[in-house]
Amino acid sequence: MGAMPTYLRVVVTTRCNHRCDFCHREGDPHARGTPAELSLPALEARVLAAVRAGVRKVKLLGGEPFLRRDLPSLIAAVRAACPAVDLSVITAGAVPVEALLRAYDAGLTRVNVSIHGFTAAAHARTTRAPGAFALRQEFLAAALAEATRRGVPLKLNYVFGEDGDRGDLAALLTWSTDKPVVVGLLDDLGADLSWRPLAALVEALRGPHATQVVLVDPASLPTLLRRWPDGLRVEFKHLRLGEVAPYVACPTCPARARCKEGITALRLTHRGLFQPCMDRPDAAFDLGPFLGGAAGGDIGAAFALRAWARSL
Amino acid sequence: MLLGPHGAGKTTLGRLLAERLGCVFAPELGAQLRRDALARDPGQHAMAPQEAFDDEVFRAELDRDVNWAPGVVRVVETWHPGNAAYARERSPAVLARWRLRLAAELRRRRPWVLVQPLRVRHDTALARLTEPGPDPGALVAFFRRVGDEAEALARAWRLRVLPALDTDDLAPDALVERVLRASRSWAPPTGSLGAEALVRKAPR
Repeated sequence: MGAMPTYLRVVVTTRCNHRCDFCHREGDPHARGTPAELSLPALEARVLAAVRAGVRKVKLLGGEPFLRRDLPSLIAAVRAACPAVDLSVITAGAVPVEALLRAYDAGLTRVNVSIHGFTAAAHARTTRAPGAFALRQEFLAAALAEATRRGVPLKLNYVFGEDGDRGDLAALLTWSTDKPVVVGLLDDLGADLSWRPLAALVEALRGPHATQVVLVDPASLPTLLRRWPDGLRVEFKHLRLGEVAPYVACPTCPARARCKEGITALRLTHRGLFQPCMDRPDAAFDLGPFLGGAAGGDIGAAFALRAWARSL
Repeated sequence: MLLGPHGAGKTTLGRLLAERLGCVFAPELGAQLRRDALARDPGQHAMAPQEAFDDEVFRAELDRDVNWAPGVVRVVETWHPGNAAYARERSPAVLARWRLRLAAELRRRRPWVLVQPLRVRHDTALARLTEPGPDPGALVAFFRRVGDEAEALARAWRLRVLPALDTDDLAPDALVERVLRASRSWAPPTGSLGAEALVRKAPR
């Protein structure tokens, strides 16, 4: 890439109240018997070093990030270090609404809700967490209200794998139609799908789209946003990291042929390692030795991270 | 943000500027959408009243903004002031519906926005015209009016506006230099002195 990436995805914990098959934890699987997360000071130091190095878009994810009770502290620290940062959370939403409100109070910019099954039956089947559905519905209503109040669309991510439930997807699309919602339709990275079959599926369910635009994201790969005549909006990751090869090392990367990611971002895994992409845990970078002194990171650590990231 | 009438060189200059700055170039969204609209109905040229189209442009531009953290550098063509100028010309009712929402978005992003207006002579614009329409002369005049209104809106929304550049006789590379030179004194807030120090010191 030759430049400092501006997008960081942070696995704040691998703990989760769901057990979905497709959870990838940004390419650093949790090993049984090891800690699920960094301490708050260790996590803050790494994230703040990244912000000091030039990161301007931070996504907190998991596991279920809202299971960390100290998440608002992390959000507040990042917001204080850089008021302009785009700070969001990806959640499955089966948590008390208060967790969302506390995060917004601390300085969260927006939230993406992963819809692991829209209907009660599909939710139970995907998450293998019976009883979580009612909590998710309550959270979804609150997230929608908050997004409406803030004037930004609520992003709902939906993973449709090889054994995807068309009826469940259809229900989500129908529900989303008259709301300020964008559905991000993703394929299961483990399956050999791409955005085209997914787009065809939506057309089969909802008819032909009316307009489409490519939304350029300065921090990541562009996305394709399609709008249907009834107002439904669906976003597709129509480019793959392996095709675009944004990093200097991509052309000779051994994982390039199977690289299906639709996102360019640095990852900070639950063990505190920085990774350039999900497929290359062997290329991870440990910032730990460069972090000294108070929580919040220091300039030396930021320089080290910047030098590593720019060499990618 | 590059503003100006069709044919002023916004897209050419935008691509070159983004290349020089090592950042993303976001071309005019309305142009992307107009290609689709024209494919469906050749009568939907730029001057034709088209409420649904303008509505979609405003919506898509705000969707695109969601991906932009204010501190991240980008070069963007036309953006909200340009979209609003088009809507003011052909579907003012749509602009009236979006005005408050746009004002809120621009207020939020104002400190990080620098506007470079571009100008072009009528004959040059006519020679560069690629948009279909019933009367090329009227179309160029329409685009010039939109360009002027976009600049006026940018000022009305209190965005920082650089002196306009005439693009008729300057080569694209020379224009890039002029824009970079003009923007040199501009220092957007970063919210983090540490980051700013690194950004300024690190060689690119």
